[in-house]
Amino acid sequence: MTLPAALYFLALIGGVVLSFLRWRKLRHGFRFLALALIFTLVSESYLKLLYHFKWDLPRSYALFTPLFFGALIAVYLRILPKFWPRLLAGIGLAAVLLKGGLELGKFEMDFFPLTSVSFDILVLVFIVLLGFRHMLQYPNEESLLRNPFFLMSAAHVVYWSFSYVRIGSMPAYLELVSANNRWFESLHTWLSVVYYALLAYVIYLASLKRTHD
Amino acid sequence: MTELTETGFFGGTLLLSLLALFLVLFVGKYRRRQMEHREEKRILEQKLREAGYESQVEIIEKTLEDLAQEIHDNVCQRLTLANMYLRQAKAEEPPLREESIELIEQAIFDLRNLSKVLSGNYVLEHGILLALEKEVQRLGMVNGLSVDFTINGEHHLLEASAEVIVFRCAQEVISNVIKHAKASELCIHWASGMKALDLRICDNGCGFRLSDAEGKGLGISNIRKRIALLGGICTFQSEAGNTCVSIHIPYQAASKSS
Repeated sequence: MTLPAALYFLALIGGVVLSFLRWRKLRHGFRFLALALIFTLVSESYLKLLYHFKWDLPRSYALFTPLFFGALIAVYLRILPKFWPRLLAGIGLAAVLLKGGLELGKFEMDFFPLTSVSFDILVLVFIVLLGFRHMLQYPNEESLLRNPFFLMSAAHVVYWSFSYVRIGSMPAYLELVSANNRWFESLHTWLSVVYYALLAYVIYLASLKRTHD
Repeated sequence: MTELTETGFFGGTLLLSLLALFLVLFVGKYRRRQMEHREEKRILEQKLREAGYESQVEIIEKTLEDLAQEIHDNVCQRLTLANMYLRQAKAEEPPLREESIELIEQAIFDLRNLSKVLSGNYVLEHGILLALEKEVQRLGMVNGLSVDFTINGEHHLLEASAEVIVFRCAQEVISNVIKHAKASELCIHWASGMKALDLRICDNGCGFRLSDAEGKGLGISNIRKRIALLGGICTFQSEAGNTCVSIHIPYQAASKSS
């Protein structure tokens, strides 16, 4: 296991441990974020096993992806107070889960479903932008660096936009990989480390006090 | 790099740059909104505080009103009746009877005066100057203070509620002089200028330290707040033998506030 991969697992395990320890103090919105972290850890460890035994890797991802994105969207569904943003978040959640269910039912792909994940990312980023709009409408006294809602939203936007770019430039990426140029992949892994460490910090902050809801 | 690779990376770089720009703009905008929010909150809190003081003043006014009514309608009537009975009664000791009558008459007179100065209506009906004069008379008689009340300039009418507030503040200052200053002389100077009213209340008592007095419940901060509510300022200067409280109220500010 490489250093960034080890750190990635460490950050993820830290987030999950915090989620269990602080579960009772988390408000319902952030409990979905904790669930998303738990899904990720289960899926990552389970998928490593599957990979080890050469089992059906893509099908497991197809199960995990809608659950993961669904949980991330559900955070916003719970926290956004106004009717229209909530309705849009609800529609987004339903679309992601429905698409995931349909795909799982007739799953015959040989490789990771990139177009499908791109759709989930777009829905999530759109709802995160609604979250930013909500913050501008209802600012509070808290510093942004202590505001779990902002940190979570910023982390989602940066990480998932980067992932989107990665998926979009996959042909170019494959060309790079084939040329033994791994820096782009390594950058993504380091970004994952920061992302999951930040989400763990968000869980910690959200369990301390009331914030943007 | 092939053309496809270059296009992919160009697009990706552009998207990520836009994203970075978006986050920077968001943080800037959010900071501005935070500042606006803070300002709105401060104004709201100030309004709430002012509303609180106003209602506090109203409650005090109502209580004093009820008290004045009670003294006038109940106590004074009973004393008057007792006075009449005593006059009609055939007492065995005429000097004692005369003395009782005199005492009761004095009590009725004092109660009537007290009732007048307690009631805000007296200020509303007769104006602040007459009410102050009445108060000064009463104090001089009751406490043996030598009171000097001077009026300069033509009286510029304040809003009715503003007059009641100024009167209550003056009353509180005078009451502090009687209770704590051990003064023998009290000087009240009322000056109505073209643009503002200046009221100075000075005494030759033992004086006080402002920092000590604010914690003793002398109502100094209340007086300041009430005057500030009218858009004026109240200053306290004190040393042994010479203490002065000055109230300055611009007419324009007072009419806006009340």
